[in-house]
Amino acid sequence: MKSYMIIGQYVPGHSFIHRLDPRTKLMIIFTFVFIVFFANNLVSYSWLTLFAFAAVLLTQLRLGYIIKGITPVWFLIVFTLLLHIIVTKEGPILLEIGSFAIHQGGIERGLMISWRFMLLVLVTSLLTLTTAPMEITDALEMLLGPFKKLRIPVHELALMMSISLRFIPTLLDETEKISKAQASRGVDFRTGSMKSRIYAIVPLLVPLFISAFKRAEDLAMAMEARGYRGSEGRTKLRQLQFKRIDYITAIVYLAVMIMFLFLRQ
Amino acid sequence: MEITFKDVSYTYQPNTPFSHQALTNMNLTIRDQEFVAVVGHTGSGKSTLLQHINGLLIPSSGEVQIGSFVLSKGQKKQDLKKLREKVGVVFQYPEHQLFEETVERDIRFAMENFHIPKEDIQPRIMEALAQVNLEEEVLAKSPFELSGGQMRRVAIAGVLAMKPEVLILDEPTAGLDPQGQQAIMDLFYRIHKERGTTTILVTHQMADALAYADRIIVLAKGSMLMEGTPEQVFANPDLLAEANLDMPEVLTLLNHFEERFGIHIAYQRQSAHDLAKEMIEKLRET
Ligand SMILES: Nc1ncnc2c1ncn2[C@@H]1O[C@H](COP(=O)(O)OP(=O)(O)O)[C@@H](O)[C@H]1O
Ligand SMILES: [Mg+2]
Repeated sequence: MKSYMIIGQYVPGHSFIHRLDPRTKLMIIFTFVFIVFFANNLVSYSWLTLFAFAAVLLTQLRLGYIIKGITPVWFLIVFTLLLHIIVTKEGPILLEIGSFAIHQGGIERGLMISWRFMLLVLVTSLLTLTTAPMEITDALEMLLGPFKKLRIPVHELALMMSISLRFIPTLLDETEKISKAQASRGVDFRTGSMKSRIYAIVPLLVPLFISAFKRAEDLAMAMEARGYRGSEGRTKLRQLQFKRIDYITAIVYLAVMIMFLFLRQ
Repeated sequence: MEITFKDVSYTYQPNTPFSHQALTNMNLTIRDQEFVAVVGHTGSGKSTLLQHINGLLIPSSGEVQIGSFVLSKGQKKQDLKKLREKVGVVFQYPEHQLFEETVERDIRFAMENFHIPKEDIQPRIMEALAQVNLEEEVLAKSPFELSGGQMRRVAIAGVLAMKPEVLILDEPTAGLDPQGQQAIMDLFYRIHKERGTTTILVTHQMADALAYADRIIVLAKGSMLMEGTPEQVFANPDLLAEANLDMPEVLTLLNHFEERFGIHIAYQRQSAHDLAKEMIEKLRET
């Protein structure tokens, strides 16, 4: 893996945000995603932005790195902005070129929506940047625990998720190794016609699938050998426990959100 | 082909929290037709070093010269295929690169990519197959029906069939049984002697480094800790320990022998059998 950059890839650390219980982070982000949609004026937007940037500061990660991590999304944000500017026909006309007009309403709405979008991406990427994948799955499993009563296989779903997350780096590693091996055998992944580049993928995919199946088989065997039988009666090695910083964070977050309700129109 | 590293440093994932400098200011020259062993602890940068030799990695700073090819960061794109045709690489667990429907097609794969003349291909396949000691019957089989050791041989045959001028071996015997290891190392040594192939071997087995290499390069934490002939390198147990490496067993034995009986026997790549005879003779004399 490693030479690829993964959006919001976990960066181990000991910052305030890193130390929060993953459930706290999940709940905050989950509610934040909804709350963002209720912002409707400059003050309320700025308030949420302030909150997001305070969170960024608390992660002790370099802002440059975080921004770079969401680069692929920048394109979407700009696209949304342009779309709204072109499509919306509200408010006074600011600029007119032939039959094409830019309205003030379009600019306002475009800015609002893309701002919203940016806040969402920024805050959710903080979750994955500061929380190990396994922590996220554990937290999800606990938070969704009540749904077991509805016969939803929460434990199994969480296990599937953690296994997939666990093997992403392994598969990327494998991909890099095999593509290097095939490049040494004269495969050219970078140049040539579309057709030849598609053919170049076969020597990469076949070994990759074979090793993925082999790994899956080994894993299943190892789990069975150790007596894995699903969630029934299973206890956890890592118990999640809310600590003081979680209570403090929850109170501060609540205060921020109450303030937000006053700030919006 | 002569290979030169000039002040080569390499950083994985620069400008991220994961950035990791795997090579620091490497300077070294590997002469034409030389057999060099690269040893070092896991993570010392051996594979990173090797991957510079066929352009899989380009130095973050400094330059690598392989024959007439120069690889450095500022350079404009060049045809790396020409380089890769001359530099054969046997990766760790090379059997993981097999993908074709039959063994024959897999061995043929590199030759076709590098446009070896059609009429040459078949004889080269047969020759390579004989070299790795596989029967002709396997040619029509799927590589995935074979045993692990046979798959390894198929992968190696694919590299040898290219008749590379430089052979890069990244722990080529890892995971094989002792006889298999011996057979494969003997094969590479024979090819090195017969074809004058410049050979660079990464190994954890000090005995192999001692037995085959003209020169040993010891890496530690991405820098060169030591280099020299096997005699020079293994005369330095303290530095070796610093790199987390062991002495070859046979040298340890000879040292103990000398301590115990006061008889010096020089190691000259004797087999265990010959060495034992020599010891008995020397002991009789006294
Ligand atoms: N693709 C990669 N991305 C990031 N770091 C890497 C990558 N490959 C190797 N490294 C790191 O570089 C160092 C040297 O690796 P490597 O050259 O593979 O060592 P060796 O072959 O001696 O075991 C190790 O610390 C390893 O973790
Ligand atoms: Mg290695």
